[in-house]
Amino acid sequence: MANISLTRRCRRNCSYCFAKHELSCNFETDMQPETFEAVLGFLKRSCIPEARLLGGEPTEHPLFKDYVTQAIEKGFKVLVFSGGIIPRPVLFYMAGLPTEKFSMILNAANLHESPESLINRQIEICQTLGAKVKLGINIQSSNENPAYVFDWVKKYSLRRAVRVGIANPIWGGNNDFFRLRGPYEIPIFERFLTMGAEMGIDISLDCGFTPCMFSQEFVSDHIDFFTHNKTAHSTQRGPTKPVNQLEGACDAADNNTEVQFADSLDTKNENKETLLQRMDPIGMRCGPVVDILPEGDCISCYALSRFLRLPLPSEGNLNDLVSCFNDKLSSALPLGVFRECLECWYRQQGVCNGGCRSRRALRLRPNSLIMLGLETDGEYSKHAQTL
Amino acid sequence: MRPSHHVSWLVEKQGVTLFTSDKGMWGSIPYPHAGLWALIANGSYTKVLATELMSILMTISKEEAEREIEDTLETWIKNELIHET
Repeated sequence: MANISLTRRCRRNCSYCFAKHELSCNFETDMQPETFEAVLGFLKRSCIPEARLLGGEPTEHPLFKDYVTQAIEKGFKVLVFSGGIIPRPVLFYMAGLPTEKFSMILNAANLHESPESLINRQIEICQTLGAKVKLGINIQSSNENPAYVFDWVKKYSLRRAVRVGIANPIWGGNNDFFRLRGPYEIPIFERFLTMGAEMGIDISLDCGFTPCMFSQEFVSDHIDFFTHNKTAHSTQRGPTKPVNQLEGACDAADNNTEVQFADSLDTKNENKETLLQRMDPIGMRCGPVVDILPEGDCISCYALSRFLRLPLPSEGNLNDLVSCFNDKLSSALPLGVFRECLECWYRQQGVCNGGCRSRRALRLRPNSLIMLGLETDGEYSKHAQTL
Repeated sequence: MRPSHHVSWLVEKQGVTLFTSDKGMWGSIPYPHAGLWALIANGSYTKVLATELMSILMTISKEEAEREIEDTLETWIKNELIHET
């Protein structure tokens, strides 16, 4: 998996935005056509069937429509990550695209806090694109109740799935993020997953979640979420299995998305949609996703963009980049988000790799900026200390 | 005595893990020596205080504690983890 950041333009200004630091950088604003073509070549070489376009707000790129057309013509399925401030001509263009070739993850407005204009705009998008849209939410605190997205899924006949992200910190940045107080259960996640299951809406968790955020009972009931199985993860309740079955169910701690993806490409008899949903256990999802920036530089992920940037390889593929990021990061970062991670049972069983790497970096004292080769900055220091 | 500028660390349950900006993870300092590191890291190192602390933590005499501290500091200085102020 790799994401193509088409542009640094975005008008939403979300306080938790994981791209906040990168968007403010004075590099190229929009990806040039020759860079986009090189990126598609890179995806082909890496056997990646999906062009995942993000930003900023990718639909604000002046050549967005051309790029999507180009990607589809070259055989890619296109997935767009949008904040919902989409130019109308682009919206109507997207409405005409075939659903099997084009889909969108819409970062849903917060009905309690977002401006009415944004909410209305998003309603229009949902009405126009319907099943092409999968809603996404980013949770910043345990007090939130994002259940309103379920109503939208039903009301506008959207894809019956919701992507849930946890607001993670940018290493060396200053975005708002979900403050974790230790390896404790966070009831809102379980509640949300359970509600989704009851309504027949599949919930996919993004990176940064760890098994310790859930009760043992929940882990038992949804064991395929937490282990390296070979089928799509689902929030639908299955037969209860004891937690200790994790020991047998987990085949390897060092599996990575590339291996699983290559495996999925070989399994031709399976349903394509199922293959695309195949993911690592939730505790193993922090790894180099590789975001390709508008100027063509590659980063492990936005939250770690200040740590290492590599040029888009003209010959190598995604595995080469991932290996390089993994090597550098594994020696530079603590093994887990919490002190308890070192002795954690989930980690020993290979079903958790210690959580968000950017969050791990913030444990470093006296200031993790030293590891980035940056001078200590008073404001950032304070930010890190509040963890 | 202060940690070198290129050194970061984190407190684990079993001790302290050190990272250097050029080589990444350097290694771990288990207790009781992690206690000595804590004194240096927070700027409160004095020979008297360190001797007292290590003598208690290791259940050894003050003379033995002094020798233990000297050896430890020598290693850390040699590895450029700390420097004298």
